[in-house]
Amino acid sequence: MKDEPLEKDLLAAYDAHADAIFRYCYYKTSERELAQDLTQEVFLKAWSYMQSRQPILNMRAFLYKLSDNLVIDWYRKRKSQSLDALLEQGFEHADTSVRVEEKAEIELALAKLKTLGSDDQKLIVWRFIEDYTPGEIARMLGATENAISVRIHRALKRLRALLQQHT
Amino acid sequence: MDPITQKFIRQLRSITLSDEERASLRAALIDKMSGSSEAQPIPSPWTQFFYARSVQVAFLSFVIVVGYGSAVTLAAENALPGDPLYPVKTRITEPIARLVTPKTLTAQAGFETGLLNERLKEAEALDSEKKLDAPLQQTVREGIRVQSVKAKTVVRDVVEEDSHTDVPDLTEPARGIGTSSVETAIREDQSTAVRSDQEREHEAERALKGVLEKHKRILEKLDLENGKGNEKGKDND
Repeated sequence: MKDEPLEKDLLAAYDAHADAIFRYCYYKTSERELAQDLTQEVFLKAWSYMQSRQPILNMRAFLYKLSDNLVIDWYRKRKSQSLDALLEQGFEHADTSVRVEEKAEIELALAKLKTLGSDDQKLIVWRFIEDYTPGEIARMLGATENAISVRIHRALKRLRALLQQHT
Repeated sequence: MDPITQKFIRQLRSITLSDEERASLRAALIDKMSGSSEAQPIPSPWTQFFYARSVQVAFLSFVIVVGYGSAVTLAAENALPGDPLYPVKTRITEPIARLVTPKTLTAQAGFETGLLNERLKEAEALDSEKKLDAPLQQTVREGIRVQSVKAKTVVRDVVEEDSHTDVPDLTEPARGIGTSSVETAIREDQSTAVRSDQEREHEAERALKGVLEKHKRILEKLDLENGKGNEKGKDND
C-alpha cells in the first residue's frame, strides 16, 4: 500500500538537502559517482526508517548521520585505498558542465580541506558551507554552543594559515 | 572573513549535483519508494512449510499425543490396582524401565527387587484404604507372585554367577610360596578380596529378604508364603 504523506516528506527532504548530502559525501570520498550513489543510499535508508514510523526530530542532522555511517562503511570496504592515495591519483568529475579551470580549483580546495584535521574539516564544512548555526553543531556534537564557537574560530584560523601558505 | 578564505569556501560550495543528476536521483528514489511500497514480502520456505494445513495438523497431533502421553504416564506413576491407569504403569512404564536398566545381573536384580517392593506397597496402600476386596485381592496376589518369581530368579542368577567366578584357592599356600612376611601379606590381601566378593554375592539376596521382611504383614494377609512366589499349600518351585 502506498504511503503518500511519507513519500512527500521524503521528497521534500531530498529537495532541501540532496545537494548538501552529496557535497558532504563528495568531501569524504572525493569520487563524484560514488558520492551520488551514497546520496541515493542515504535517502533510501531514511525512507526505510520513516516506514518504521519512528520519529525523526531533525531531518538534516539525521541525513548527515546516515551519510557518516555510509561513508565509514565505504572506508572499511576500501581499507587498502587511503584517501591520501586517492588525492594523489586525482579524481575525475563526471559532471561535464563544470569547466576545467573550475574543476582544478575545486580539486585544489578539496585537497587543502583534507590537510586540515578531521574535526576542523567537519566544523568548516558545517558552519561555512552548510550554514549550520553554532547551536545546531553543538547539539549534533553534544557540546556547548560556546565551546563550538571557540572551536570554529580556531579551525578557521588554521584554515587561513593553510591558505596563506599556498598562495 | 578574508578574501582567500571566502574564495575557498565559495569553491567548496560550488560542488553540487547537476540538474540532470538531481533529477535522475529523484526519479530513482521515487521508483524505489513505490517499488518497496507495492512489493509483497517473500515468505520463507520454512514459513510456507509451517503454514501448510497438513503440517499444522501433524504438528498439533504430535503435541497432543506427546503431551497426553506424558501426562498419562505421570498420572499412572501413583496408580493402584483397580485404577484405570494401572495398566499403563504395569504394561508400559515398567517394561520400558526394565528395557533401559543395565543388562548386568546385579542391576537387573536391583530393578526386579524394587518392582516387588512396589507391588507390595501397592497392596499395603489398598489394604489401608480398605479396598482390598476379594477380586482385587486375587489380582494383587497374582501381581506379587509373578514379580516375586522374577526377582527371586534373577537374584539366584546373581548368586550363582558370583559363586562360579574363578577365584583362586587361597586357603592353602600355593606351591613354592614360602611363609615370608611378604607372602603372608599377599595372602591376607587375597583373603580380604575373597571375603569382599562373598559379601557382594549376598547383597542381592539381602536386599530381597529385606523387602520381604518389610512387607511381611501384607504377605501374610494375602496368604503368600514370605514372597516365595507361592501361595500357601501350593508348590510351584
